[in-house]
Amino acid sequence: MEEVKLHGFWASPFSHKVIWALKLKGVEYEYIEEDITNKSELLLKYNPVYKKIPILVHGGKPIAESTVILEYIEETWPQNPLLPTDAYQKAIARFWIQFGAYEPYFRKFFHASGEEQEKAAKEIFGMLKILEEQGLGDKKFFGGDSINLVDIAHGWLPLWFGSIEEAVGVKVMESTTLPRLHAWIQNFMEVDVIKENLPDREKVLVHVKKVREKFVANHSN
Amino acid sequence: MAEEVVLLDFWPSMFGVRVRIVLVEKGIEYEYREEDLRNKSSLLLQMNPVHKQIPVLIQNGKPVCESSIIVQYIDEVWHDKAPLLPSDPYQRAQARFWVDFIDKKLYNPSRRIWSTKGEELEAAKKEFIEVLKVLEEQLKDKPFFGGETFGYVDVCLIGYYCWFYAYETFGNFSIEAECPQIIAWAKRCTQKESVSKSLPDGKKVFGFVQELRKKFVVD
Repeated sequence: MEEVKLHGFWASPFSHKVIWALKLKGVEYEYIEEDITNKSELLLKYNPVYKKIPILVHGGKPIAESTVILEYIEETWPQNPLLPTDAYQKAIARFWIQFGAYEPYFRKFFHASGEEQEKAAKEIFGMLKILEEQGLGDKKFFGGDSINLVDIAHGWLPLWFGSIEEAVGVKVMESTTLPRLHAWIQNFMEVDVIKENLPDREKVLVHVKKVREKFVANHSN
Repeated sequence: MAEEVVLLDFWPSMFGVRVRIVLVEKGIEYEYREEDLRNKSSLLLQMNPVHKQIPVLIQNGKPVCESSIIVQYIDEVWHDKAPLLPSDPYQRAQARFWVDFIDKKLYNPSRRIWSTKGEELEAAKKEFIEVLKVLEEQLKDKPFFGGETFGYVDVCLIGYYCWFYAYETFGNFSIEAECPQIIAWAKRCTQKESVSKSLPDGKKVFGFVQELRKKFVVD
């Protein structure tokens, strides 16, 4: 059995996605906390392209980018499958994993204010509506009766996006207008592996507020 | 495998090219349907209601969307011929990493090269070359990103090559001067039947971009 190490950051949702996958598969690993304000030599060596966490190191070989790491984990440790085995269903799952990822409106929502932020909030709502109606539908989880990589991919919404909503004072994920998503959030946060592997919400809120303040300070005229 | 395969595509699309190449690599019979993106067919809207974009692969009436997902899907289903992804999970992860990098980093600056001017254009060129240089470093002295054989990363990058003439003309620069290995690699790829059959002519793409530009830039 080769050594598994995860370089992460306590407040990062991307780190947590990898933790959740490893825990769901029962993979033993060593967690290394990285100070992202003072990046280690090792981090820079393992991820020269982006210089970011999470980085999974398996038998000394590094893998970066959470979506890539998650597929690697799925292929390397096939127990408790987190993706469908059918090629077509897998393609559908990958579509929903990618959906809404890295969209500029998330940044805008977090950093902007006024009209620009309102516009971003509308775009986020639109995306979440499609996600809950066409991605989730009537299912309990994206993975069906249990969570899979699609749930994990959107697993940043409850705690992290929730904290961002609090920090900017604008709520998008309302139970009235996104009922299925709301139900999914309740169910997702009850899953043992998720419940037991979350950062402190208050601490994340403080962190998110700090990041926002810093951005606003650096960008105000 | 006698199954009906349809590809909804748009001829200059660097993303559609990916799927065309793979279909030839695998020797898959399919029906190509050209979409007018200013007047999308009801089939496209039905098959890709979320993004309403090409390419869309339809197999026996079931759609697969997003080019990199389509490529992986074809590679998995028609797995016995011309494998594109490596069999080793670590190598697969590396291939996925680089396709993800291409998808995240290359499209945006490339688009800005033909649709902006002045300072914005210069910034776009700089970013574009920087991204190509990172890819060039990754290529090193291998014939393909996949190593000895044409693979997933090669498929996903080569579609941009037919746009290079347009970028160079509108951006007034030489990509070969900055990234000679990338051009050498691209030429090597075009020697493959699947690529030469699938890549539209660079001058034709230039003509298309010229028309498109009128909407964005006042020359």
